[in-house]
Amino acid sequence: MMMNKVRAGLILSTVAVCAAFATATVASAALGGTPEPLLPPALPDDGTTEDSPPALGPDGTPIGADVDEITVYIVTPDGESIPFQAPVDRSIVSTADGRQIELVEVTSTPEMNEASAGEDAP
Amino acid sequence: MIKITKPVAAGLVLGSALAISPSAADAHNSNDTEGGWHYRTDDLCVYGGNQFNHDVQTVEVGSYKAYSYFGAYKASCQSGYTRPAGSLAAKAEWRKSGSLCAYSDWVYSSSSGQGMQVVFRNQKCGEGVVAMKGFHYVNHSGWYGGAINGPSHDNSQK
Repeated sequence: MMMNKVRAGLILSTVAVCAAFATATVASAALGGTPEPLLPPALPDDGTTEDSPPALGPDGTPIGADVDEITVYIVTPDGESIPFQAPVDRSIVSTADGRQIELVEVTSTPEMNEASAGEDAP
Repeated sequence: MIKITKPVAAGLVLGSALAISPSAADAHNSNDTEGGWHYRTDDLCVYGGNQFNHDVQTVEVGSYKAYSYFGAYKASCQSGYTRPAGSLAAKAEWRKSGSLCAYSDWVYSSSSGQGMQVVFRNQKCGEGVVAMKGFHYVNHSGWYGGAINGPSHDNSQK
């Protein structure tokens, strides 16, 4: 009888120790896990153009990568978007801390400037 | 409104007056520059910044990750993170009196690197108060980033 009580006590103690260890492990994981990423800043949903880059092409390269001109759209007062092809000049520069940055200079064309200033588009 | 809060590692200077950096920003009216972190994890941090300086408007996207000391302590977003060609993307929009008046296509990086600056020259939308909005994304098994409104600029005042 005495031995049964001792045995039951040992079993209960073992279960209690295991439960405490499991609780501590879960709590530790919750407190010390990978930090949650910050969300992008909230913006008003004015939704006039796409909110993220287009999906990757079949070869894994984004559509429109490595082009020597891009399209800039001038929007007329009545809401019409007029596309203009703007030449792009690309160069690689190093920052003071040694980072490699691509500098992309978009050159406006005279026609684009006229349309942008509110004059008649070609 | 998000003000420039770049850490030391993000305080890049291109040796160009066009660079969106704390030193460059100090040289202009504080309203001419907006920037901040879109995303911060150990594996990837995405910085976005816009600058509006009269006839020159710049959109910058930066790719960073945590810096590890002795494989243990990590300084968040303190190290440039090289991404392959096509993995950095940015574009710009311009508004006058709240209405969209101009916007660009997406511009992608054409070589591997840790950042990209897209510089648009000449005015957009004519004279008056024009606000710009920059979009800044980095591909890391999916696009991470976002958009930042501002700054605005009165193009009629030189």
